[in-house]
Amino acid sequence: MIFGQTRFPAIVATIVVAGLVCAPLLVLCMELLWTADSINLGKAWPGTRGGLLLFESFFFSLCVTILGLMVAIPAASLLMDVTGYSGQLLRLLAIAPVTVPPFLHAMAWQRLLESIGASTQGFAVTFAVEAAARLPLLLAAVLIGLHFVDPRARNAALIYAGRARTFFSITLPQARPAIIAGACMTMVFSLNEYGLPALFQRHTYALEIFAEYSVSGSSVDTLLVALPLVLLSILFAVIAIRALSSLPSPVAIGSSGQTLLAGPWLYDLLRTLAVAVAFSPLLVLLWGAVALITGSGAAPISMTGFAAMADSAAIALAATIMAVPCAWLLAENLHRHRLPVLWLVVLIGIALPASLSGAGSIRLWSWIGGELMYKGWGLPLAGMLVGLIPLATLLLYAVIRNSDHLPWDAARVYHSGPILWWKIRLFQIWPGVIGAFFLLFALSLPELELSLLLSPPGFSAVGIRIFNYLHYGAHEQVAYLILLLLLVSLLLGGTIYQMIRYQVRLDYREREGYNKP
Amino acid sequence: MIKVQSLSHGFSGQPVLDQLDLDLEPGEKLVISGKSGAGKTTLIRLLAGLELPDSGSIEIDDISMHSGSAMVAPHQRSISVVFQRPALWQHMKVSAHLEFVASGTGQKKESTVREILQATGLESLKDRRPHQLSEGQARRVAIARAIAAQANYMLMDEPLVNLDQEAKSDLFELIESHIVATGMGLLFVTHDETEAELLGGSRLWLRQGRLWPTPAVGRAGESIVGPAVASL
Amino acid sequence: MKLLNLIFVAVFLMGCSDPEAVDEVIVYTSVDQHYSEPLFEQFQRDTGIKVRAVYDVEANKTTGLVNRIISERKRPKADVFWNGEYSQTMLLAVQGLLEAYYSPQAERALWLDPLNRWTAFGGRIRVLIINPEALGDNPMPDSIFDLGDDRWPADKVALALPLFGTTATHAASLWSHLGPSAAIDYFLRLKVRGIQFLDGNSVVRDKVVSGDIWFGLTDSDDACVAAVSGKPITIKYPDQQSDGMGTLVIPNSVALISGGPNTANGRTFIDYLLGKESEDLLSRMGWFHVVAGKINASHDCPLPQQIRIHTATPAEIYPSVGTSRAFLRELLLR
Repeated sequence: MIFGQTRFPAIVATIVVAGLVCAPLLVLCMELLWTADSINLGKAWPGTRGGLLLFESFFFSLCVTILGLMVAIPAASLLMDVTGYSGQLLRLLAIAPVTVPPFLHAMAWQRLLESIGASTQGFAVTFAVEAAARLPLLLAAVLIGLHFVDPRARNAALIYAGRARTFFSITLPQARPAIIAGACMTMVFSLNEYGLPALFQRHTYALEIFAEYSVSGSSVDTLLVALPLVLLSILFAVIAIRALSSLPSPVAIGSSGQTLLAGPWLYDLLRTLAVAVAFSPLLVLLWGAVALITGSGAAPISMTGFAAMADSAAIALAATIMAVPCAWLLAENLHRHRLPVLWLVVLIGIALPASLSGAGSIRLWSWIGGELMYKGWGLPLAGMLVGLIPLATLLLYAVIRNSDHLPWDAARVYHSGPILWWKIRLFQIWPGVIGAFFLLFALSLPELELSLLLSPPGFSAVGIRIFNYLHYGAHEQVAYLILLLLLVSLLLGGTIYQMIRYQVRLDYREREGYNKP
Repeated sequence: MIKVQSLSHGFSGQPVLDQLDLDLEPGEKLVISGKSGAGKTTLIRLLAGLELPDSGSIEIDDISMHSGSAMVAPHQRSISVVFQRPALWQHMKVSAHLEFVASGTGQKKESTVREILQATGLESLKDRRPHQLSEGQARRVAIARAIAAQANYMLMDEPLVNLDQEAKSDLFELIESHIVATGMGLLFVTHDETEAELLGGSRLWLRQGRLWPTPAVGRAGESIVGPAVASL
Repeated sequence: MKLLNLIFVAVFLMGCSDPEAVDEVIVYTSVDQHYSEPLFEQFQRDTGIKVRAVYDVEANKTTGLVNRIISERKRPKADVFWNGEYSQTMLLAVQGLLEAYYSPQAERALWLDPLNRWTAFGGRIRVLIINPEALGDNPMPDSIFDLGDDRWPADKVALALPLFGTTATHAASLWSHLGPSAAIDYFLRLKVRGIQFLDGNSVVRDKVVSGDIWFGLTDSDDACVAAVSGKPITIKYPDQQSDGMGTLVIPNSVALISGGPNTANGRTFIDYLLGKESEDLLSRMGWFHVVAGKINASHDCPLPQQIRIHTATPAEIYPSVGTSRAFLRELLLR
């Protein structure tokens, strides 16, 4: 008797989840085919101006990422040398601003630059501010990479070489996969950003999407205009995925445990400067928030603000609760079967701009969904899942790849089906699952574009509130929101860090021997 | 009976097992020796259903284990496996490991677990989690877990590696008294000739992707006794 | 696992449940929540009809709602579209998404669609916002053409990117009024001079308030937010000379969505919005600056009471929207 190793319900569930993610794009593509006669397919070709704008956007994003890495790598190396709880706290503080939307970073920086009489326009300022806004994400990627480095390899190298040489020749190459993945995701986010550069009068190709909407009112035309950007985003997402596939297994989570020996003075000077810069996003956000609150008479956050926060938190929580199991399913399938079509689904979800996936979602569900999806949160939930599932899939895929396969195999010898996932796998990857919950919640809470397109009437979204506050000078509300997001980062980030550390320590014992400390 | 015919498997174009044949009767004790990288672990994983072979056939108790890309799932093969590492589940207590496995046997879980805990000397450790165990205790739990499955065949992939001599002796005793005595078919692979000699039973050597009745083959096909065996 | 499944299904069903089935009207509005929400509350108090609103924001280039209405074409969810300007409403009319409705209150309107698909009412004014302190001894600007005048340093002069919102409509009005050739010359001059094209009208205001910019072109509601909160700025209507073209008034527009779920309530809302009470409320809050052909005096904003208005109608301006945006996109998005 022959049994398939992949169970039928799992196949069906995977197809449903994959369909959910890529259906909005498919609907737009079908509309494109139906209306091909009246659509100018040439819009997909950016032309000279569009091509130059695309190149500039690419170059801008590249500069942002490189500058970010130039700060993040030396800063992370020094932060990793700080041992104990103070080291953990410093690392957490440095990456805490990762949950604050880039536009709010930009507002804070703009205020600071204006207050000291510095210029707030031009390439240099724009890319420096965007690099600062992206720095926490890059710093998090580098820190994760450094956490994955086997300290034994580093300590062995220290016998033969100085600290600087050891770092660049031994430590950094081992941290490379996480750094490359973080850099590529930064490229994807930066390529699709339009608000921050526009605030500093730089225009990016992402703004073309809105210009096209504004002129034609056609999602299909807009899809064609967005296509070069989508393809570029896919390219970087592919590189990120390849890098994630080669992550080494962490052998210890925490600082390097090295004593703070003096290194070459230039090396230490650069690292110290980098750490100072690495804390600038946090300090500027705090300065901005405090200045806004004290400058405006410390008005408390309004009830409508609370209502918006509660509504958005509820929908973000619901989207997160639904997205993480779906992402887990896709990640397991990708890990086991490596189906190219599933990778394509993930890439589409990451690369498709939110305004297009929202427009596609409306068309899809008005076609098949009946009234059910249009009532309450059905539609915004479905729309949010399109973007959230692929991101969580990437994260969980990396975690699953790094989990110890032998205990998993040992369990497979005796059981199959839900009990295996529920009783064994979940406990192997739980820090990743909690991390995915946190990441998705932080991303979906202040989300703007999908809220505008898909929120049910009468729904009060935080993303919309933020920009209303900014428009009418009620900046103190935004300041409270910034502080709240930073607090959420610190509390949840700290908790997850401790969870991962604990799990890695357990895995390390299993891998390296139970008699080891 | 486990019957393997013309089993071939490789990784990235490099063949590891090549037209391998193997028979294991219920109650038989078969020890396979081979150097590191010879394909011992691959053979165990193929028999356990953790990998799909490139070609060849595996039958367990007259049931074919794979056809094309479909195969019988590991938990349906009536085998249990002890891996090179304990491969314990870090979030579970010792007793929970046994309960998890015993729940798939269809027998009364509590009594089975109690019996095995007593028989393997783990009763005092039943409430401990893996990180509270020593290496030898962790290996003992891994073997107890395999026993709890009450399968027809036990596959052991170097289960005693990196243990000191005293711990090895304890575990040999455990294997002898609770696996061999129950009439299970035992396939024990190791690179350590001393272990192989101590365990006894039938012997085969895995070399060049196949099983051989002698430890090594000289240039003219002459049998050469390995240094570990010679020292005995 | 069963528990997880239960949670999953419960969350989804909870999400899909209808919050309340009440007498309601669904309004999509690009008018800022700051102004529109009090009106919705007043409407609900007066009529008992609950307003469920969806808002747009400047940061999204106010393209979100129009995109949403077009995407919902097969299953319209909105009853009414209340827009802070009119060109996007006219785009919906052209796409056949609006239902004709002549409100009994339409006589108060500024302009009407000949086919009654939309009604333009109330109005904001395009104004020059000036920081006198920053301007110092330099001459006071009084025309939109001063943006292209070398008497003021280019980096101290700004307007919002004329591809979106009211600035795009303003640009189209220049195409219509001056003719394409002169309008192109004007924007080429601004581009070559290197003036600042900012992210939105509120950004122009904020930059003038901070003194980073000396003066700029913006909407009266944005300028008034700064003036009412005591910021040191001056508001001027541009081109008020006897031979000047006057300044542009940008009215709100309201339209009934074809096939919406509560069409009758939609009509009631439109009647209410066009009525005197709404006009008074929106005037008091500072959203309307032109009411019944006069400058709104019921708000604290120090707007000059005399005004010379640019006379082009929406119907005259709309045909230029496409061409002006296409040119400006080529010129400025680079």
